[in-house]
Amino acid sequence: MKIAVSAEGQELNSPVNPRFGRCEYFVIYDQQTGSIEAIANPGTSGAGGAGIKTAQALANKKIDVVLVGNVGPNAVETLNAAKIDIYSGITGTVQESIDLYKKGALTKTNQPSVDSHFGLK
Amino acid sequence: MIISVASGKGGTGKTTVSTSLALALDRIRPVLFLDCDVEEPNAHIFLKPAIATTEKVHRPIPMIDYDKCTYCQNCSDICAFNVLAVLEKTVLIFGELCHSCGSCWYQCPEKAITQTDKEIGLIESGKSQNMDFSNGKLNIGEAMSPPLIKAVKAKISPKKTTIIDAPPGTSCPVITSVKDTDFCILVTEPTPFGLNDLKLSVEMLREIGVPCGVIVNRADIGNDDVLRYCTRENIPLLMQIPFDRKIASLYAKGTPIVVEMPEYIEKFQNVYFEIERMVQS
Repeated sequence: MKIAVSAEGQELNSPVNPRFGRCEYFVIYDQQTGSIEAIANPGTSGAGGAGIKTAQALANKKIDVVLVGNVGPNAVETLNAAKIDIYSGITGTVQESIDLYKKGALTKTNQPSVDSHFGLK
Repeated sequence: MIISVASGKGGTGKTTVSTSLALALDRIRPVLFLDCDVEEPNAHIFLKPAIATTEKVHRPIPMIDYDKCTYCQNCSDICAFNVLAVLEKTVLIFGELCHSCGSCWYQCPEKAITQTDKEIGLIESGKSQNMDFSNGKLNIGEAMSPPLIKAVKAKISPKKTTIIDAPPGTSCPVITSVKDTDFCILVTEPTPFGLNDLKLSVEMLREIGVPCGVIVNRADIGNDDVLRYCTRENIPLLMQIPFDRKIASLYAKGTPIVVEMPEYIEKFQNVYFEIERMVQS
């Protein structure tokens, strides 16, 4: 089970970034091995379709679950097609959000929470 | 002769000018009117054309041949607009983001990408008095208007004087509309906002090499800065239309100025003759 969290930095104590397609990094926690890895978000550049590129990158990393603040329609469609579960409601740091997920305190969703280009505003 | 009518600022009177100019010319020569403001065409409200034909306009977007696709992600890597998401067993295509550049289908190593047509809008054509008329209507939700504007401009005929009503602003749709026209009339108002956006329009036109002149609408409001700017930049002032209640109420009724105020017929014809002189010299 690989869990990715949208974040501003590359550590467990990095603040989360609620913008899915425009966050700086994803911190990836592997529940099996307990290992932590960070990947730079390739979707941050470009005028549109950021969430699509981001979702494809997570699919390439074989992510099972992504923890987000907000997520747009095209990102959701791509994540759903990649069979990556989306949980929203992250807050504080990456570690705090992973703990919330483990406690079942995050909301599973397959719907966008914001409209296109929200992360640019 | 192809004359475009544009404005940096919206709501300055592009359609007021373009429709009255077209009707004034319609009395003395063959005219074709093209409404290229495809996101909100409104010239038909004033010209009241009888629409005879409606044609759909398409643009190409990619389609995957799954028998050939190896999911190599070449297409999603090269696409500047993130149109394609290549996943394990499927490729998602977000056609509304596609700019129809062709990179994906030209560069697919497996030749697995073909083109399919996406309908983006329609062109309505007909006649208003002697004048030929066409406008484009972009489908709701379609983000890219230039392909439809180009399809409207394909109607241009060398036999007729063409008047193009452009969208407001200085972005791609405007550039597409005014590009390769012989002359562009910039309609502005004498306010700080009007001047600011006029400057942007003038810079844009100089960049693409289209000569321009200015018509000041609602000429009694604001200040003289627009006139001073035109003098300083050697931009011909073609006409000033006063801030007149009658003109405003005609506009509100969808009546062109020249229909109810015939003294404007000659004024608009003179604007055309002046443009003709400038273009030929």
